Amino acid sequence: MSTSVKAVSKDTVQTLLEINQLNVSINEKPILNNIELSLGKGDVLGIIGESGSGKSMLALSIMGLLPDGFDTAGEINFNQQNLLQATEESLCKLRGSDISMVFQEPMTALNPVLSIGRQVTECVKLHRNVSNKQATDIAEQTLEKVGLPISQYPLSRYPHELSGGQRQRVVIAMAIALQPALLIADEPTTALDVTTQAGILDLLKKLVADEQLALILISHDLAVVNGIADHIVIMRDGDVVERGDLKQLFKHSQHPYTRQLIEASRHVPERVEAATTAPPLLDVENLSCDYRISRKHWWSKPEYFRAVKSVSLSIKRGESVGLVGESGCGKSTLTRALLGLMPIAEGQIHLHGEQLGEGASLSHAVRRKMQVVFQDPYGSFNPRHKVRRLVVEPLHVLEHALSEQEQTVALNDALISVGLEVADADKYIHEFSGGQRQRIAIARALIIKPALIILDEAVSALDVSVRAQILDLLSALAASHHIAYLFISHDLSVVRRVTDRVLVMQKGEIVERGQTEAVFNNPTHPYTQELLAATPTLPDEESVI
Amino acid sequence: MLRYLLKRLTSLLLTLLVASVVLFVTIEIVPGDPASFMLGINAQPETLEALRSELGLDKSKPQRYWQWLTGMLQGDFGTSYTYKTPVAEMIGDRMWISLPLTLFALLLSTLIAFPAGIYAASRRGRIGDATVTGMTQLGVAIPNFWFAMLLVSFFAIKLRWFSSGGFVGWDQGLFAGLKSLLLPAIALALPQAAILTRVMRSSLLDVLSEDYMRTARAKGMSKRSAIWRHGLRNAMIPVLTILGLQFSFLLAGAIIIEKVFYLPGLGLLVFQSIAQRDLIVVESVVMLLVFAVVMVTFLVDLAYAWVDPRLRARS
Amino acid sequence: MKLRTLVPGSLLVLLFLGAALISFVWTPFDVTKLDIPNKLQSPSFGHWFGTDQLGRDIFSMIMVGARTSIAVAFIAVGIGMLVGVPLGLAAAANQGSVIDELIMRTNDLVFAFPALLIAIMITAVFGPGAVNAIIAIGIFNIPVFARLTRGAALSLWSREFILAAKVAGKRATRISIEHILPNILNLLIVQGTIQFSLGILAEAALSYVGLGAQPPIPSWGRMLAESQTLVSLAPHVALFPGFAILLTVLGLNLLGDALRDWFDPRLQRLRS
Repeated sequence: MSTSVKAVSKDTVQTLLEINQLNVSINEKPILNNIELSLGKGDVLGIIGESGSGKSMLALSIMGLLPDGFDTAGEINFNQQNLLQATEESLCKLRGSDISMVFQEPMTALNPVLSIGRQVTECVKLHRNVSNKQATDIAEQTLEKVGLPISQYPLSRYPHELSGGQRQRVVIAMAIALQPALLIADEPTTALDVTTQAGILDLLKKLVADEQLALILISHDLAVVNGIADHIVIMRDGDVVERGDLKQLFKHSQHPYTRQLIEASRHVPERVEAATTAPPLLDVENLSCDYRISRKHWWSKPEYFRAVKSVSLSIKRGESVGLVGESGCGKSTLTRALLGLMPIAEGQIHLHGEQLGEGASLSHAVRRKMQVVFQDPYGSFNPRHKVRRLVVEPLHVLEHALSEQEQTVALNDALISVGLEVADADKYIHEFSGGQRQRIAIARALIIKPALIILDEAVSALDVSVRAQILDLLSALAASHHIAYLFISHDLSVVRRVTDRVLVMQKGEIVERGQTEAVFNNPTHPYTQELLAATPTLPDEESVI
Repeated sequence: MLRYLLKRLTSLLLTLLVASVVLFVTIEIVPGDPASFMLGINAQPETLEALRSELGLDKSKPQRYWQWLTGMLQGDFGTSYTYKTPVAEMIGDRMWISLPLTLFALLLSTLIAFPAGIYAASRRGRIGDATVTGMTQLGVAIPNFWFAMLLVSFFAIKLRWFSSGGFVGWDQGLFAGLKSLLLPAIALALPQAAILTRVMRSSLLDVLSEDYMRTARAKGMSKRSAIWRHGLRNAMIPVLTILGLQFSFLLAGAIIIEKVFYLPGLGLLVFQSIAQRDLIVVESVVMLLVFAVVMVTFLVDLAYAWVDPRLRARS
Repeated sequence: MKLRTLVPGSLLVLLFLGAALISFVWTPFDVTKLDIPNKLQSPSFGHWFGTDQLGRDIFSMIMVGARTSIAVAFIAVGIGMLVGVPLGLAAAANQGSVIDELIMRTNDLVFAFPALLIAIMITAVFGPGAVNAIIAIGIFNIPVFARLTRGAALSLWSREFILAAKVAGKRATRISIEHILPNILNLLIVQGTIQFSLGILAEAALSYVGLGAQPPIPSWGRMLAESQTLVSLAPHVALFPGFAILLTVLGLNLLGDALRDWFDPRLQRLRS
């Protein structure tokens, strides 16, 4: 595809990994095409690609862990040894000892029934002929190195007793316990909160510096590899489309896909700001919500956990308000309370001046004014219904049932306004891509012409280029339909680009609020400052965020 | 851990208590007076009255329930209407056939199913897997009492390796006792082994696709040792559930198999008692079997807690 | 998609279903008529499967026996589904509530009584018979379906399309019927075939010990019980009814496996 520009390492003499003409396919269907890569000792390579680009398959090819049925051709030379020709036995000796890997999902990457100590020592004992005592010593030292000191996190801990970030540290400890020459990290922080992500990225940086470790960092997010990777490779549909230094690529990339990716990553939709004099739409006063914790005994009194603590907020007509916070901060609970999906412990919610009741008693009149778009484009639809039935579902709340014909008119309007076609109404949901599904979700919200749409992580699961399109669509709809958005997200850089005002939530409370630009430029609360500092940035934004 | 077990224990004891009420009420529905049944139609009213008070039949229903319950806790199951002997004695003799038979079958079933399931899972899609899976299809479909009849006609009647029925008694020695239980145990165990093999296989296959199995491979483990060290213990969790259920199936199955082999166990006792309307015996045997099932459920809970640290932590 | 088991499975099931249906209008011989002089005849052109100890045609008896087996198992599974599924849906819709707790604890209670014990109790009280066998197997099926339904429904309740339906103002009952039930139907059908085959085995076992269908209604289990003393004398008397049970159950299980494979992509989506 492209000319093989060798990633020029600081120490060019020693090439650690060299991939030549690597082709991977399954049932004649190509997955990777003529991949050329090379990596020196201690180098850091970033591999960037959207879903389906083949970046994870590349990682698994290097590890020799492709699932059964994949055909490989070409060379993967690691220390002059072609791994594609190596026996399974010699690969087993390399894995975990010379080449290690860290996966995306820390919650499931550890064996739930074995203690973390056992899982780390096992790795040592597997490759080194050492006593239990020595293996335990190495495990302790390694866990210390990844930020899990033995005094706080004894080896007897089980995975379920650790948070996601801590589990990822254990996985990293297993990977580096034997000082491998190469570590492959496949989206190691994607499932984590931003502050946790920053911690893991710092750890990886430190390990690279201290341990003479070469690192391949795979991500969908250009910002994540910025500041770590010496070089990056952009992949698309199994091809390497461009490679080079990140900053150089930003300035001088020639390839249209790279340019598109960079544009999409920092895309700012054109928005009409809501007039400051716009009438208020949603008014939340001192709202608190409780969760019932499962009882200790069936005879003991139920205990409650206050997930939302006395939150007040207001949204004006046509305004876009961001709500940011990390997992467990209470933002989902708040959303559910607003939608009438969970009871309110204290406080009041007014929509259009009308007070909302509790739970299922939320009146249809209120439901008509408020809709929601969820995160998961795959889980948001009943797979057994056609798009027509899915989209018209909210019409159920109208005072007077619409005739078949009126429904069709409304349906067609909604589909067209989100950029779909009328004919799509007769398809099933599995016939659509993730981005199209989010459009259908928006159409479903739009069909009863609500005044407020709650976007609950609505673009978080999308690839950057699709995300940019959906953000554009949302901005256009806000302008044409005068819709207000409550934009809930963990992604600060997106919130910054699409909201007028922003609320920062921590441990059930709003800790900071204000005009978006003001908050991002001059955060006053330490938590906001921490969040902003932890947010990965693109090279050209470094001065801004 | 302790809290989890205590919670399970309370809930199981509660189940047992409710089960005893259900059982008592069901049996109470039956019309007719056991005392007049025992004495026949020509009984004198005085003798009848005496027997009624001796059996406690003149008391109120809640009183009789309480008497029955506390009696059982002290090992007193009442007196058989037909044989006029203590029920506990009758059960005591028979239990030493039914219970060993069930345990023997459970052991056989596990010994067959574990290796077969692991073998099939590790050869997924190959001929070994297909063979095992095909055998389990047959095993699941075969009625155990018919299989028992076939075993008898071949091994006992044709080859004369075993006696075709009856029980020699434990006083003939452990080996002789086990030998006369071997055919019944095989008949009981094979269909259950087929089910267990299937569960073991699919549970292991599920586990094999878990992320931590990939982690284990990335550590440098071979496929085989990843299965042994990380797969099996996780795969055991659903297998334990089925193992617990199997005990109750086997216990019930033992009652039927006893008929094929003319084994004087609880099954024979129960069917005899039903025919003779000796309901107090039926009531006691059923209660005893329910107790055994509930106890095994508790053992399974214990095993869960041992296998899965997440349960130990949960209250 | 692996559907190798579909053809043999459905063929076997259709075979026995067909035999059962045809037996209503025609059987080679009258199964109520005794023909002592022709007793225990080996299979021949006249009597395909031979005759039993009372001279009845075994082939005809197996046809009519299929009727009993299938009817008992089918109605019992029907009872289990009709009662168990709504209970499971209700429990899932009210997760953690008193209703949920009550339903699940009752399930535990029934699970403590293996089907045979329920049958023993019912027979002890009401006497043996096909209806009591149906009730016993039916009661045992209720918690099976309740548990399965609750588990599958719970995983759906947390899904976003259910939240979307709630936001559209729909109530729990309507959501259960409109969104939950269609999505767990596959699971229920697969489990249904499994329970059906277990029902056939249970019916046979109950009839074998004399707690099922009573004479003169022919039943496979009782045919086996009656043949027990004749095994060495006339093995065919014991072989054919046994094979009838084996093949019916095998057919149902193969069909169940095929259906499971057929539904698998969707089941997987359900699980994820």
